[in-house]
Amino acid sequence: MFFDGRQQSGLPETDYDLIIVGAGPAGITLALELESLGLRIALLESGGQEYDDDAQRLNEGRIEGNDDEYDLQFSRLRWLGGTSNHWGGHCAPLDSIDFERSPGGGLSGWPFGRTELEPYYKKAHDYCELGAYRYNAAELVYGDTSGFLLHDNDKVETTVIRQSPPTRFGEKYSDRLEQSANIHVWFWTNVITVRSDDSGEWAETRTLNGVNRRFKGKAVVLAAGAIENTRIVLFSNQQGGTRLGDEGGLLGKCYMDHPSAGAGFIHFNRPVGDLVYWSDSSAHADEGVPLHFVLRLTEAEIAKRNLLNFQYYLVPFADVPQKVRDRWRAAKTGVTSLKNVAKRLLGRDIPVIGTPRTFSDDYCDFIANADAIAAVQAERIFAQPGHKRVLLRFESEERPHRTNFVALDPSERDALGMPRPVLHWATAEDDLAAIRETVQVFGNIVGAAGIGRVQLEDHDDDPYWGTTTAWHQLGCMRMAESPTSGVVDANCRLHGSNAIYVASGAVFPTSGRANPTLTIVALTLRLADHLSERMQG
Amino acid sequence: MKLRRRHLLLTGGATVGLGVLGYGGSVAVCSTSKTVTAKMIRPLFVAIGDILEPEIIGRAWLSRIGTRALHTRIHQRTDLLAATLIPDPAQRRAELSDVIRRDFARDETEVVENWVVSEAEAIIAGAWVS
Ligand SMILES: Cc1cc2nc3c(=O)[nH]c(=O)nc-3n(C[C@H](O)[C@H](O)[C@H](O)COP(=O)(O)OP(=O)(O)OC[C@H]3O[C@@H](n4cnc5c(N)ncnc54)[C@H](O)[C@@H]3O)c2cc1C
Repeated sequence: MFFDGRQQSGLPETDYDLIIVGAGPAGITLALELESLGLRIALLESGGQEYDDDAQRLNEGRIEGNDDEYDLQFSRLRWLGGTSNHWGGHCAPLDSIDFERSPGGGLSGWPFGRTELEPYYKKAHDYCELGAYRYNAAELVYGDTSGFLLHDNDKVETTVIRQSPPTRFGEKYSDRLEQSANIHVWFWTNVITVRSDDSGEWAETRTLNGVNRRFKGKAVVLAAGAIENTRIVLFSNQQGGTRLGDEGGLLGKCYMDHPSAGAGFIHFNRPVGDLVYWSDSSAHADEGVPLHFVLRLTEAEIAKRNLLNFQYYLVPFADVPQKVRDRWRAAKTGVTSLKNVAKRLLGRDIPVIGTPRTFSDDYCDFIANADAIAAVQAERIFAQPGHKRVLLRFESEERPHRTNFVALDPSERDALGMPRPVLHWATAEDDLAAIRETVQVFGNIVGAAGIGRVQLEDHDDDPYWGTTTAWHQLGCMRMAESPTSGVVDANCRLHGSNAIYVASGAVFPTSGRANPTLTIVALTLRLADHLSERMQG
Repeated sequence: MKLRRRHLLLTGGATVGLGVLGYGGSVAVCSTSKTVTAKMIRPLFVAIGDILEPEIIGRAWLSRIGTRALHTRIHQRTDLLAATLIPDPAQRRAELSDVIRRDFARDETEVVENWVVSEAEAIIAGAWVS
């Protein structure tokens, strides 16, 4: 059933069995999964059924560090379905090695192995409309590996990313939620703080028109996305003088993404024909689910060399003479200047690098490079895939570093009076070095196969090394058995609470290389099993 | 006294003579070994066409390691030296391509000017520009 939390009266009691905060993939999955138990469930959603400017503005926050092409406001979405309203739908499970290795730096890894998640991954496939739970690339092409660049061997393999439609969780599951008698979706209802005491678990809420409510449950599950979950608990601790999940000083720490950029080029000895990796390849699984193929090092090779886990998308690339590269650079300068012009007009801060720049500097730079911007856009549209060389576009694991973290802004508050989040995120030098090393290893494999050579992209000089986000917000509430090593326990219960849980990529202790939503949904299904036992017990 | 002067002259003469001989000999031997090396490695250049950007790679690598190390490396690479003895250029080129691939397979590679190159490639390109 749907309710408008902005109404003052005529709404149900706020005493529930289970309170879920946030109706994105995690929150919706959890509610639907527990529906059949007959529990009274409140699904509290900050936004409504459609996009709304004022609700969306609650996502504003600062990024310190890697803010290139990245902002907090639009990297998350605030209405039914959450960020799945614009996710890309690329899905794969984490690899076994991600669960087996500890990440170093004195931090623990996953408290269980991948087998623990297998049954949940299978079920998560249904929620994400992904067809059968099969990822073996050779099997999926029925053994016809002629479209693979390299034969799978002990060092390298082709693997699969499955394409969800992409499921818009709001649209897809809206009817079921609305028709459910025991799931109450409270729209426009923002959770500000949570609390756990002997009388139960509590969530304080506020609407943008100033209606305050207090929800009580036998359990509260935070499913508001990694950054918002963290912000709610940080603010709860600040307000209540508590240290929920923060005994080890790790709440908010170890934020991770999947750094992504061009790592290098393969220059083929001779032009290669159609390979499965090209984005216009029309490979589908039996059930009609589109497949993307990527190259990666085998887990044995990654373990042997102690490298980060990563995957390469192969992007066919036309030959690029120097003057074209110059044009790219000019276009990049032009776009940065245009962004600065926009920031100035909106009154935003512009980081000063070197000599301070004025509005007219930026404006004139944009005008001077406008032709290059137009030319580069035209090239992107009209260029035919060249098969003499391909760009290796990586998405890499990022090690959990305490220096990447989410904190509360000491001065800026949102319209509800909550401190805005500040994300401190920069890809660490040792991670960049590891990514570089993987390119060399890959270059060795390509050379040994006699198909060509690999050229690394220059870290300082080349546009393709602009490491940026893959839009995957992970970590900050890492999972560990011990309260001093993590924020939630192996059941995703916030350390120090009775029954405040987290369903989110926030709990990942390591990020692996795979796009995270499938794992978020799988972990949520596992949490549903745990809650069902707890509630029925 | 006479005896002593003759002694002195003889000793001095011998020292100077030996010095000249030693120096001259060394110069001769060294220059022959350089020439020999240069002559010896010329057959390797059939592989130049298979190396991408050989000039850039050769110059960068040579300036990194120096000519002396280049010569040492050449003499250490018996597989390269063996390839030089193959009379048929096409066969030699094929053999060198195998040598290079074996380097890659054994991780005997370097990053030179952002190219991942095998040691054999670096040596051939370095020798070619030297
Ligand atoms: C451009 C883009 C592309 C992406 N592509 C992929 C991809 O291809 N593959 C992949 O695996 N992942 C992808 N992702 C990531 C994916 O979108 C997220 O992993 C996923 O949406 C996380 O689900 P969630 O339920 O944890 O959080 P969200 O989807 O962020 O949902 C959180 C919900 O909580 C609500 N909320 C927030 N704060 C509060 C509060 N205080 N009170 C009440 N409600 C609140 C929000 O309104 C929202 O509805 C992409 C992300 C972006 C931005």
